[in-house]
Amino acid sequence: MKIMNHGVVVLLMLLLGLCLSPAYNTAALPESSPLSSENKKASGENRKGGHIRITGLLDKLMDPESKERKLLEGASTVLSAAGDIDYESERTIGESLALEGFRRYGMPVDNPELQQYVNLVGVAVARNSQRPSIPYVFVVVDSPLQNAFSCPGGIIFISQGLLTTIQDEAQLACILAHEVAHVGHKHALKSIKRARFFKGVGKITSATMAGEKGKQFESMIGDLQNILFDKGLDQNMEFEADMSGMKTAYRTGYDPRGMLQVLQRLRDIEAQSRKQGSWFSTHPPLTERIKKCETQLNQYPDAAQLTHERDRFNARVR
Amino acid sequence: MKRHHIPAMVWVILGLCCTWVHAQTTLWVSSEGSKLKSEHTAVSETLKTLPMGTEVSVLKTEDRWHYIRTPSGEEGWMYRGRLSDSPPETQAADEGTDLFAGLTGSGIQADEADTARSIRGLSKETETYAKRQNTPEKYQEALDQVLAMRITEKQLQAFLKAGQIGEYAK
Repeated sequence: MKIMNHGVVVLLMLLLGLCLSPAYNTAALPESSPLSSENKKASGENRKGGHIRITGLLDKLMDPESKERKLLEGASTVLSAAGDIDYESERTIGESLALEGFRRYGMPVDNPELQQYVNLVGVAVARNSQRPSIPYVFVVVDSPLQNAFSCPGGIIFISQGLLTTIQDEAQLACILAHEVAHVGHKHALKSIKRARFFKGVGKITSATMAGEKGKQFESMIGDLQNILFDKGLDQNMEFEADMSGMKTAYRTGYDPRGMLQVLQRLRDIEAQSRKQGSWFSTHPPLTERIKKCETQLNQYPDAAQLTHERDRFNARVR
Repeated sequence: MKRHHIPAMVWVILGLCCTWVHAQTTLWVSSEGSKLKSEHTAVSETLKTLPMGTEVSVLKTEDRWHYIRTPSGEEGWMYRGRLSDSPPETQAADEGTDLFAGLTGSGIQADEADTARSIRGLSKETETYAKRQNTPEKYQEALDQVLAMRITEKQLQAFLKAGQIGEYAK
């Protein structure tokens, strides 16, 4: 209810802002502007018109049957659904997706030492991420494809194929920090914020897993698979995860150039690699990402002095 | 007209300067288990573990360590990676699921705290999903094992120390 009210308030403010903004902006034009007199005349009308429009709009919003009121209610439901489900519900979505991850990419690699090593690197970066207050687990799956992805709630997959493509611990830390950043920014959840399942659902319970809602949940997990396993997240989300991942790796003490080196390595092998279901198909063009990461490196002048840990990586992974 | 603008500009510049000074000297504890140390080395005495979100003032910086003061007046060294220039995101939804919940006053010793304390087997709802999808048992068991993975604080510190990572760098 509180969330709904906030959504309504925000939308009201936005609507009021839209009504008022043309008048405000034109009034601010200098006298010398060739457009000023006409615009100021218009702005006066706009101001008067703005008040009329606001009054009319408020009247309509008070009417529960009006189109405007229904639009507002629908929008606020979407707003509350998008980013405000509780952690347990987020985790349930993540677990369901993880089951599909095994179906698609194979079982965990049967090597407890390797799994523990990857978890140590992952937890080391996760505690310095933008969302350090949830538990994270990391799993290496037996797939030759070069891929890594994160499920909502903090379950992170990396393929054996990608692990053997990279060259040191700093590069691994950067990949895991990139995936942790997706969880922190709730990128996957934001990608399905308009799913029908969320309409009227703030918490996933046994009741919401049954009947029609259950079907909507399954459909939503299907959409998530399509996004994370094939189509890829929005490019801006990937760029954001690259930047956050570099920052997290740097804060932990790993050389953030590891991110750049992974991308360069993938670019080198792109021609002879399988695209379907890999980082090549689910992530933005490598050249563009490399360029952005190079620019970001200016933020870390002492990057070269930080850890790479090639020996330990080779001992545990090779 | 211009005379009126001069005082306004002075105030704007003063405001910008104050903002700059504030940004330069104020940081926030942004990692779980962030320790205030007596010296700028990881092996020195731990004075206190500061909770995430604590706003601190930076008094000086040496190597990759900041000498900080907490709002309650405690002073000591903290590795730069534990601090950030904006408050960390904390969400009510995450309460009770801290990565190292035992480190911040629950009474559990740091060495005993683990990273997966609140992860249990599959949720009831996930089991329902698996049943409806006819998910093979082996995938459910695999996920159960993944969720049961435990990394203790002691293991993590030993790992960072062995790799000379972060505060353990020489």
